[in-house]
Amino acid sequence: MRSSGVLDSPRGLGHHDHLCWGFDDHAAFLAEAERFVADGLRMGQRVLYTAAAPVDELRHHLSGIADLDHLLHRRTIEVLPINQTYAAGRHRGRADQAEAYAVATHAALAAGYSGLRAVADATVLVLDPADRDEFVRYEHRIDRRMAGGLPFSALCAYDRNRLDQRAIDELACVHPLVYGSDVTFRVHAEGPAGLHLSGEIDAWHEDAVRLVFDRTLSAAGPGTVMVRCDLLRFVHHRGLVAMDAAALEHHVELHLVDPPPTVGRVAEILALGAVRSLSS
Amino acid sequence: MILAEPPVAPHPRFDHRALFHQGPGDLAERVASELAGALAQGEPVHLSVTAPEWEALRDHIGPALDQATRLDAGDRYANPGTAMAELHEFVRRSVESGAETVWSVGAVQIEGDPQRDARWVRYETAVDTVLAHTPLRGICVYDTTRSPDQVLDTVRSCHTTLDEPGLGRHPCAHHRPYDHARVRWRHRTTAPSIDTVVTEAGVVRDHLRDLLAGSLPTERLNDLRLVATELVTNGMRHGADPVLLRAWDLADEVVLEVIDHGPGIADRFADLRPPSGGVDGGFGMWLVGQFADQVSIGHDDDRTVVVASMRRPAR
Repeated sequence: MRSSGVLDSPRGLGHHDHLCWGFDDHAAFLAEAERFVADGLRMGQRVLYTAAAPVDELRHHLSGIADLDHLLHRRTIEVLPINQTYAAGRHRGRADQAEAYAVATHAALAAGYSGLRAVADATVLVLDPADRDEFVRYEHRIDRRMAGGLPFSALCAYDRNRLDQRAIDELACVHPLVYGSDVTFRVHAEGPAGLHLSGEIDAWHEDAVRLVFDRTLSAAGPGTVMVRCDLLRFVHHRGLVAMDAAALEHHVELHLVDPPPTVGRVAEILALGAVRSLSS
Repeated sequence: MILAEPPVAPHPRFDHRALFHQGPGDLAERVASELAGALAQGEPVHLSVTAPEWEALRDHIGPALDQATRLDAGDRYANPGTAMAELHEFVRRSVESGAETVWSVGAVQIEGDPQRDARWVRYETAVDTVLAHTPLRGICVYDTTRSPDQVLDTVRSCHTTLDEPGLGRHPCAHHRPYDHARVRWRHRTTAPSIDTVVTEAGVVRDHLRDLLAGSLPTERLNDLRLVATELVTNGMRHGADPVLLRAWDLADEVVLEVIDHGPGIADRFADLRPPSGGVDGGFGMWLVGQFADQVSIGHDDDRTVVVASMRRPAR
């Protein structure tokens, strides 16, 4: 099973883990990125490091890795400028980016690695709100692949000095693991087709709830989506109404599994059309 | 300050009657003919009476009474919010199905405790504004052998029509609206366990959990935290700072007061009026009414004060 939660350290991720880090200090990020790469190597993974910098500079960021040149030569480690890594998305829509990572992961497996691990500082790709919208949708698509068993793990890093809190929250809330953010609720993939909703949702999260469910349900398609809620501590009725509106928009029925005890009764009182409360 | 209420054009067939009787047999004798006529014409009838009252009515009316929708009075009148939801939904469905007159006979559960019975006095007043636009013929039946005179005197004032032994049916000459100030909440004689300025709803939930976990059953605690969240959210969104929360942890109930310094809640029966939807919904206060045992909404000294209480289960 994948890990989920708010971490006090960005280390120790498994083969399917997906971590978001909104960092303040670039030097601290580089130090942890190097450790993240080293962890991947110990786990037999091929590792990709990508950020908005020329290749030489990216190599320099990893200079603490033993035998770096050899590993780069063997393509055990790859470094790529961010615009090359995400070229597929730029040209054909971000839906293709998840597929590109899946192909790269299978290539790593075919080459004898245990999987693929990526560390990406994608800040420059999400500065514009329209780009960010598409990128969050991509983040969820790749999260579904990881939750579905793809041996791909990722550290997604975003620079708080260039993004406001709302942008960080939008990005962080679709990740199962969060470090360096105090995001109040998260919606991430659970298996290949379900969702896991956790945290606390108050009235003023109404718009954010609508946004994240619009983005995640757009990847689901019509039908029933199971939403595990065992770590959901509270949801205000406006959050439920927002979920319901998104579900109706996407022709989805949301089955909330093990939500807080009041949710079922509130959903009944509000006569929601597309949200059901279930006990496991 | 008297708060404004949405204007209501009464339906010509709307009637809200208090019928005072001297036991099930007397009740049955006085309403059987009227109800039998309604049932014979296929008009929808909702009955929330005690088992002896039902038996007496059935003796007089016969099997035709089985056409009525029946809900035990104890279940129907668990709290004013759910009682109103049941009645409103019955009327709505009946009217949608083409009924021109809808009947409800209910035995409101008076306890003989002035503070607690005030919730039913408030409910009875709310029926006049919440359902006046419908063709409801509501008959609220009070057993004078079991209800305190003080309560019956108050009940008289909040019905448009009275039906009393010896006097028969007549319009109420002293109909007056419910007065929030008349409720003497007992909790105010002691210091609250929580008295805080609210900055985040989540902090309020944490305070209540810390205060009550272990002493209030989990389900009731979750209900209370939902009620508190709705009240403070309402104060923060529609009122003015500072928003204050006070909570009293009493032997038989937990009482919340949420105070803000805004203009007040326009509808003093917001917890008893089913929301009409729309951008702002109005669901928050309606949910408060569905989960809390007693609610009052007031505004004085430039402060809006909403009180909600949750009883502890009988031990």
